[in-house]
Amino acid sequence: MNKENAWRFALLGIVFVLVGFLILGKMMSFQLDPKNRQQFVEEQERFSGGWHTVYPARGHIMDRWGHLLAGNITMYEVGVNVDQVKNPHTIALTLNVILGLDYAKVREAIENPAEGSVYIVLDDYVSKENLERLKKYKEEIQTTYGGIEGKDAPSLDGLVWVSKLQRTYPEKSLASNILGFVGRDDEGKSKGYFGVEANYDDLLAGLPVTVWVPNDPNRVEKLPNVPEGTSLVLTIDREIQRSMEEVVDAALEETGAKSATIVVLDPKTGEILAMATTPRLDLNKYWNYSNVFKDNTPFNRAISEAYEPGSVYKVLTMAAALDKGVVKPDTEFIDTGKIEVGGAEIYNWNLGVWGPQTMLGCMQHSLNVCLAWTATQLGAKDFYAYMKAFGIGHLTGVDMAGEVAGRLKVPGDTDWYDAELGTNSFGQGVAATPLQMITAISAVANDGKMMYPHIVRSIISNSHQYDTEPRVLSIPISTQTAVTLSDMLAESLEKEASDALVEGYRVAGKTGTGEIPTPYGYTSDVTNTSFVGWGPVDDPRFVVYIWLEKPLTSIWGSEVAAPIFPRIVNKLVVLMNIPPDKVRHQLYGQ
Amino acid sequence: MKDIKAFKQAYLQTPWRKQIQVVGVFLLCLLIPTLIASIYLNVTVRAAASGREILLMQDEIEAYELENADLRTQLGIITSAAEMEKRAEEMGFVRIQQGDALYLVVPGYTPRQSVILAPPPIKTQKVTIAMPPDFSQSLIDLIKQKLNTDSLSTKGKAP
Repeated sequence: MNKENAWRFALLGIVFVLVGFLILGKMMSFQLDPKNRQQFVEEQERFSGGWHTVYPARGHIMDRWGHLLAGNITMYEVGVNVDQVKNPHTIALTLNVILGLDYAKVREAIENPAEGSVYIVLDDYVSKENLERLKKYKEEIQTTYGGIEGKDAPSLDGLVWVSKLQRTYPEKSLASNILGFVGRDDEGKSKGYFGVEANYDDLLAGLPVTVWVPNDPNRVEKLPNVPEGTSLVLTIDREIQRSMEEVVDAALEETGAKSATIVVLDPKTGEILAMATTPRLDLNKYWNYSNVFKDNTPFNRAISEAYEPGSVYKVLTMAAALDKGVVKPDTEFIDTGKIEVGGAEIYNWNLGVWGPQTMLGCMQHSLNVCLAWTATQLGAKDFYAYMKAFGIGHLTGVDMAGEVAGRLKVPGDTDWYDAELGTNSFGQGVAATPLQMITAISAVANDGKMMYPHIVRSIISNSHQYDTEPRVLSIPISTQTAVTLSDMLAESLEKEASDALVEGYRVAGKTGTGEIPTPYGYTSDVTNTSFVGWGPVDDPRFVVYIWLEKPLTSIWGSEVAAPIFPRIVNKLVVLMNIPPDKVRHQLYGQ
Repeated sequence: MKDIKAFKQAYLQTPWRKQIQVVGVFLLCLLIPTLIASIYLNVTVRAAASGREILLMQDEIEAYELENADLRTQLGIITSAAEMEKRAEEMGFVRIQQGDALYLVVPGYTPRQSVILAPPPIKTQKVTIAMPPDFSQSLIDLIKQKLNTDSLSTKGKAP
């Protein structure tokens, strides 16, 4: 070795040794300092992969025959990878033209992203059609200007999209009040609102699974199999529901009523066959909710709005009295046109005096005085015990979100007075929902048994179908009472030559006209009109409840609500394959 | 002994032989790790390619699932009540009225049943062992059983 160059080699050696020591020192500091070490571990984790949440597809909702009422459709989230963007102007202009986004807002979002953000969402729930246009345009831009370099060269680089499923309702507004809808909660997550979507939200949504997806292909693992959310088969029949909605709309137009509600129930199983009400919402445009349901309008009046039902309630009073044995169908009552109960004077609907009447006559002419007397014969204790057994004042427990319990004041309550017994007997001073009323009265059509009203027939989970079994909710009256009352109500319709009669079918029913309470007392110029009916009387297949709120053409249930009943039955017997009584008896006789 | 000396002498006279030996050992040391590294690289590359393929297939599965959901919904839309009625009307069908129906007795006819989209859950049955204990019981078990039954039969009797 040349001695002149020795010092150079020595210096180089020293430098290398020092650098080596520095590296060693830094490595030791990383190893020994927990803060440094943590930082490195975090960075390693950040770049080695990411947590990915797999959301299962939301379960379907179908009618009893399998027709799809709620399904899922692919939509897209459009965003930008900030560090890949070359020309914000092109992106903003493209999204303005194709998706109708605000040019200035998009450009601002891209050019001034929040600190540390690498991805920005520019639009959500973009339809497949719009995304195809976007995709095609991006390809065109790439083909035309792909090779051109420079800041001003048109480029959609950085513009990306992610697919996702969105709830969709093929039948639009059909059965919307039953189904509810899926919207976004405050955190932007999917959430069911109202009806079945809200009540079964957890089941329908399924369980999301969060997994670690490594960037290193060597460490890749199979994603777990995330089962779809539970699917539901409802008890409703799409065709019956549609027909009932048509009847509701027609009734609203003909009578000028504020709202109309029809519920159809199978009395033997408690299955809700149809539940039509107004207003209805196109569920694919659920964001119009506040425009459609103004002024605290309930989403589903059949379960969420209690009202004073009026004379349809007399069915329950008479059922209780017959069952307790305080009256019989031929018990005579002399109607003097007035009765005093608890200090309050009660009159008939026409303020008339009807003279001697049997219980059948009392129901036929819907005499308030007679029913108030019947309730007094029963006594407050038994009357309210029966009303409780009929479920008045309690939730029915129907499997839809938003049910209200109504109100039944009972002795002992601070706002209950002796006079309530008289007024409650003909359906005033008591509030019930249409579903509560139909459930209670269905006991008369079903040999005294009240079945649990329900909307879900089957649950499909983990490739198995679980059918719901009919359940008895209560047995408020005996079979004998139910049969007797059913006959009485069929006869009263026939004797009255009611508008509710249906040619070829023996039906039972009762009209109702309820005055509306206001802060200044009851109104008589506007009423709630109702009708409850069922048939065929010897083998009931359906119970129908009709409620028209404040009709303008007449204030009487017998004039506006009763004529709707035969229209409904004529549709039901066709859709449910129920032959006329005569034919049925002949067929059974063969 | 003479042979060894001759062998050593031969190496002393031709040092290039020793050098070849050293180079050979060095190359061998180099070759083995290279071989291992290349095998490792090959396996790694194949594993990485498979991993990538799995990722792509997962994306593909997701895409098919989305397509399935889309198609099912499309089917729902084209068979919706309003669409079906429109098509029926176009084909000349009219809605049946109550009086139009003719009822007949059709032997063997079963009414329309509610939809069944999946099998019902399988009921688990209690498994009973058909084999009598005599075939599985050990001698000790048998003695224990006999002792127990004997003691049970001798105590607790009324005087």
